[in-house]
Amino acid sequence: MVLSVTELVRLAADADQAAWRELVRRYRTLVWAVAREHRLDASDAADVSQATWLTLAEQLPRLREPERLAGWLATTARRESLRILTVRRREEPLDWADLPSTVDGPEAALLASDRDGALWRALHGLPERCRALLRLVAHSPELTYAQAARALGIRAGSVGPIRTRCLAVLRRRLECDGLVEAR
Amino acid sequence: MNDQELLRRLADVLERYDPVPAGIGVDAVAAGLLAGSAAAALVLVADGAGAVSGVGGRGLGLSWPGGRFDVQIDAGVRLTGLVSGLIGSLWVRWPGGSRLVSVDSVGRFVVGGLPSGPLSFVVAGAVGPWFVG
Repeated sequence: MVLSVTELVRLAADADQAAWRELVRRYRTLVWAVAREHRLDASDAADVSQATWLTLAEQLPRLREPERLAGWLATTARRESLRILTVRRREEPLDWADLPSTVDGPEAALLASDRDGALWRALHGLPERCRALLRLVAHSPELTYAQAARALGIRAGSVGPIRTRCLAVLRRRLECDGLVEAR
Repeated sequence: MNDQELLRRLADVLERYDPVPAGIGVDAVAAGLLAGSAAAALVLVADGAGAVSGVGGRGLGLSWPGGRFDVQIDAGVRLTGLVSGLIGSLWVRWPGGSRLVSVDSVGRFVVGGLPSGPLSFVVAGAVGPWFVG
């Protein structure tokens, strides 16, 4: 039986560790994605992830709308990511062009010339806002437009049009590379 | 391939090329042991970078019914702070432990050698939010 997120939150708040593990399994990629799409390096993204999960654990009994957990997690991770970005900017002069991109790092060396690698490269060829939104909705399709907007700091009314436009651009690029059939 | 199929494939690719590090899953699962344990009665009232002039790091202000304290977190991890309430000590905690920190007669405290990663404070029984320095 697949439990709803509301049921899992209720059980986890009563110290059911199996329910908590299931929540982590469902949403850990979302929390990680939010931190990474704020251009945090792996170390800071890990700290933001951990702080987000610790905060959730302690707030579980007081979570007002458990069915909206994905949005709560995304917003909490964004808030902490922005705070870290502010601290890092104070610590050293920041040149946005020098910020680590999520495409850099050891994983870049793993990029294969296969279809997955091509999709990864096509994604990273998109504007930053496109990439962040597509990553969010890919990991958590249940996010409402309002929740996705809060997590990314954009207007809720923009989410639908941006999503449609970004998917179209991504598909066109994949079609050009012969990776999907033209519709 | 429709939009849903493309997004599913995208999710698979993201998992492959920028996976959640294994340690994060372990830490997140461990956080479940704290479920519902805190009243979070310390309220964050100020949060900014470099609160101490010329110094990097993060400056926080936290209040509880009996007072307020301000703390500067510097890389290291070192904390310096000033408490306005009448307390002789406070706890600083991290996911794997905690430490009792003495507050001097004028409310100052300093603590070094803390682990990197999320930290939180407990003052006069009031538990604070988690934050990253």
